[in-house]
Amino acid sequence: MHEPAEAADIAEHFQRLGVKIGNNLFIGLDRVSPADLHKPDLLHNIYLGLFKHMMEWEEGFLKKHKRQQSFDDTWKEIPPYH
Amino acid sequence: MSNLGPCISAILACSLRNPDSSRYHDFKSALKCVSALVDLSLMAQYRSHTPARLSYMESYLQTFYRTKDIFLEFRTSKATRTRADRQDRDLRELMADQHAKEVHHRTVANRRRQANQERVERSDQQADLIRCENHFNFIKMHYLTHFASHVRRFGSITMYSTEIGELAYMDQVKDGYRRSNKNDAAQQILSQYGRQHALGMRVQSIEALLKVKGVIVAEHSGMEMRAFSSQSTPRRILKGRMKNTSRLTELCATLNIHYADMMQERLRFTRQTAADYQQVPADSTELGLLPVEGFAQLEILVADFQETDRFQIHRAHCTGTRAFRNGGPRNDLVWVQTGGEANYGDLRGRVVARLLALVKIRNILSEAAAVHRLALGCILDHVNSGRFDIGSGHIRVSTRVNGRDMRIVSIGAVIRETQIIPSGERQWIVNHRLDLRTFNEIY
Repeated sequence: MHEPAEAADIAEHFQRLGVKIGNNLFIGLDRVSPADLHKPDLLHNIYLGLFKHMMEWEEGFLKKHKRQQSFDDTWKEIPPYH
Repeated sequence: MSNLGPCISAILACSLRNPDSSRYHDFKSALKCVSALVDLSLMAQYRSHTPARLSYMESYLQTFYRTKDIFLEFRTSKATRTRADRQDRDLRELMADQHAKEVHHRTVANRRRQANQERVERSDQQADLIRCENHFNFIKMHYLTHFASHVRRFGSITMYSTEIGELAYMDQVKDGYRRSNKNDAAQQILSQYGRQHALGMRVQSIEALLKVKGVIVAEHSGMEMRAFSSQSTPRRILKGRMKNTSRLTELCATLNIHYADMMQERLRFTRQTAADYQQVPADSTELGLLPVEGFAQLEILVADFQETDRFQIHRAHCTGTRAFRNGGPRNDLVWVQTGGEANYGDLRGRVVARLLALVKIRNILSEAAAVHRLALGCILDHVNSGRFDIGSGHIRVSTRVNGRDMRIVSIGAVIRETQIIPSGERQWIVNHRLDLRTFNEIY
């Protein structure tokens, strides 16, 4: 089957295949291309985002249970690696 | 922060050890929550996924969501804090007004009691408000739910990491600017990077050509080594020859090890591997006369996880009793393969060992004069036969009770470096989230 080139051809092509073209929410939006939307990013989502939040919660948790000192001590005692 | 992830759960487990019974469940779910998030982040770094792995990812997420409420009370936003403070102030003013209206005289004790009562009431109200207002309803939290579906739809998550782009800013722009004469820098930055890039491409194509001929270039080292004949056993190199050790007796003296113990272990090792080795004298006096060389470093070439031709060098240092760079002596911890896959529960035949000495022994008595490269290690025993601890979700190791913990292995049995974190008297927690490979294998 030859590759459809024109936009009209694409619609026709899919119709022949029995595939209906639907629009998702983003297609209707002005100046938005769904293909270029943000993808999950480890650096900003987990390392700089959630780990940072998590450390805050942990600090609160350790403070409440008075384990801060032992937490800090454990950090210092980690043996060298590599 | 990316270095924090691998260590945090083990360290938290150490600092939350020995909880009393009232806090046991709190500690357990806090640990579970943190571990689940770290597991999720580790699994998100995989370069390829299988449906089973994706379902693991989803189950980590579920665990995280289920247990995160333990941290709810510490998630107070600034707005909530301000509102709580305002409410507190209003309440205090209201109470002060009431006092002003009450005209009758009271005793001091009576007044103090009432003030205490009011303080308790105020702090209760504040805590109530904070508890109602706290939530986990923010965008990064929601984002996690899309990780698995994102992998199904677009491929591995690391592909879309902006880390690479942000690092590229360093060598594409900043380095270029530093090298320029700061005058009309844009042109200079562009041509500088173009030159660097062209050279980099050239180096890469030379490397690719060399690889065809069977030479592996180790990453970050700049040195080349001949490809090992069998790819399954990565290459190990002994480095840093130490002076003053030429006989086993001298080695024992410097390490403060009983010579008889060393001999016994050496003979055990010889018997065990007799089939593989050239004839080694079984007599201890003859064995003691063989020339020995001591070394301070073992380089282990470890393939990157899910990669076949990219390697990292693990440098296991072992200075015996001598100081390492003006510090204390360094005896690194390594994984040693001792038994079959079925042994030691979740560790699959591996034990953690502290390196005591790295030696090369030349068997001059036989005609072939074979060289034996051996590592002398102090074995740490698994607590609970190497199964995961239910409370903390980690494997623990401890020093041997009977003291007979010395073991000689061939350096081929040393797999790679490991990390253990001290947790109480003679006990350590194995950090199995250290890197992706360890995380994937020990499970």
